[in-house]
Amino acid sequence: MKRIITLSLLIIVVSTTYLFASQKILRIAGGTAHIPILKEIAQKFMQQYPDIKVVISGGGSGVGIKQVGEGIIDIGNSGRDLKDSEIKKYNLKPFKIAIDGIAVIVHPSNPTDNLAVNQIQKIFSAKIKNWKNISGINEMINVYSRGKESGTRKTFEKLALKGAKITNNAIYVSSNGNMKVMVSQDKNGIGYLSVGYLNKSVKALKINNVYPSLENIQSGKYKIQRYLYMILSPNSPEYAKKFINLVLSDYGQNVVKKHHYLSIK
Amino acid sequence: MADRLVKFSGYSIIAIILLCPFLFLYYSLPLIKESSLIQIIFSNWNPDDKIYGLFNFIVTSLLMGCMASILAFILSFGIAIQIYLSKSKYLTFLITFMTGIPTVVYSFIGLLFLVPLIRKFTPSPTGLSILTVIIILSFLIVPTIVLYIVATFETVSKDVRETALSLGATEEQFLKKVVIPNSKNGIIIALILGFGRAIGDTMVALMLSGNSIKFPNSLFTSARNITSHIALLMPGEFNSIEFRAIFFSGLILIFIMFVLTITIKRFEK
Repeated sequence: MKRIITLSLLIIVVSTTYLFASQKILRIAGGTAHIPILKEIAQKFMQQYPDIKVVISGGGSGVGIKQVGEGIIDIGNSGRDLKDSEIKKYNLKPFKIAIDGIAVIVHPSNPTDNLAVNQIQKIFSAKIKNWKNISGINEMINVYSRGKESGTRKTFEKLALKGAKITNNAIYVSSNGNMKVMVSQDKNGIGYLSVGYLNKSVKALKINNVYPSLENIQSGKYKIQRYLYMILSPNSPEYAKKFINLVLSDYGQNVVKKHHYLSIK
Repeated sequence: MADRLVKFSGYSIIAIILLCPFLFLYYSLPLIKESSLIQIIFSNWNPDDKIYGLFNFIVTSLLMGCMASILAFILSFGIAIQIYLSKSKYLTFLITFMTGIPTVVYSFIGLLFLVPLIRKFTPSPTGLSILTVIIILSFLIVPTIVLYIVATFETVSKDVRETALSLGATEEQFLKKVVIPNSKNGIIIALILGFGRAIGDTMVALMLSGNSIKFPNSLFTSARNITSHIALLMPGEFNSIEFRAIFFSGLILIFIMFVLTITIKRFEK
């Protein structure tokens, strides 16, 4: 018995010293649209500051705001505007780091190229249930959506659905990446995601004949767009600010462009 | 010193377990006030209209649990008999090994291999359906059921095996006429244990059911169970009424487990 107690004490001592001795960690979490950009910038950041390790995870914009406010993480990511109540409650400081469009996506084999906004509303609220009247193929439409914590969903609801309620039949996915994977495997699927995630595995649709290209997002022709934010709280360490400065620097904004988001400059 | 420590840890665990339901109840009070107990249990989830019903999720959980444990039972019974008769070390090792595989691995394999098959060969349009979950869940709970049934067989046969064999019964006859009829309670307990494990599991349903919030009116539709509902609500806003549904869902799960444990106690006598 004594041996067990000594052993467990030893383990506690060793692990705490390890914790204190190990390098500083910069924890970033929240909106998943940010991840491709931040992953690349984090590499550079860790080269510049070898004693700091950057850990990036998802969870959704709601998680990012909540956790940074509560001091669980150092930087929160949000893909939606912060509410005044949120800023006040935690004394948060949001930084705009990029502009992002939200694309409606289907399977690459889907012959549809263009949808009108009211068609999108009807599809996502299941008033149109079949592809027949849209692409001519007689198959049911599978709607994919994100959960309520998602900033992508909030923006999409506000700017595209405009009050139309997402159907109860919708299948829930947990991140932008997951959305792409699910729709790329379902030839009758339709979903929405951050344009930074677009590639050949899914097909982005024109909305009212406007393709979600960078030019159209920049000129404002493509309406479904939003700012991406990184958020600091009073508890964040000073190196968190350094990371955001790197994201806002010319180098960081080039990475933003490289991943098909719009630079805020 | 040592047994004081043991006592202390024992009592603190009991205290925590007893505290849990009350804590959950306390945290879900705002929800119960805002809605009502009947509305929460018997209506549909629709937070936009301030209706926080969990009915569909409860039904889905029970449906998945029942179907998965029945399916698993059919598989397990044969395996248990095989293990008992052959005393095969490899088979026992395989089954014991299966208990240690994390459920996320099962789910991932299901996502890679089963989902495309379901999409192709059943009316489920996405492959994410209750049926998918049931199949993977049943694999998950096979070891639980098998190991319990084998243990029951061994306990039952221990005292009377020599007698039966010396009277001229073969191993198969002995199993069929003596062991299985006397293992009924153990088999039922194994089934309930499997059911409990299936109901309590989160990852499989979360990854394979599609999590849509409608009523599970067929095996081929997508639906959400209680545990995934908890997982999906977690990233939400802590102060919202919606978030309180997490605690109520937890309360429902504790209640189900409580009933199951009492049922098991019944059969143990």
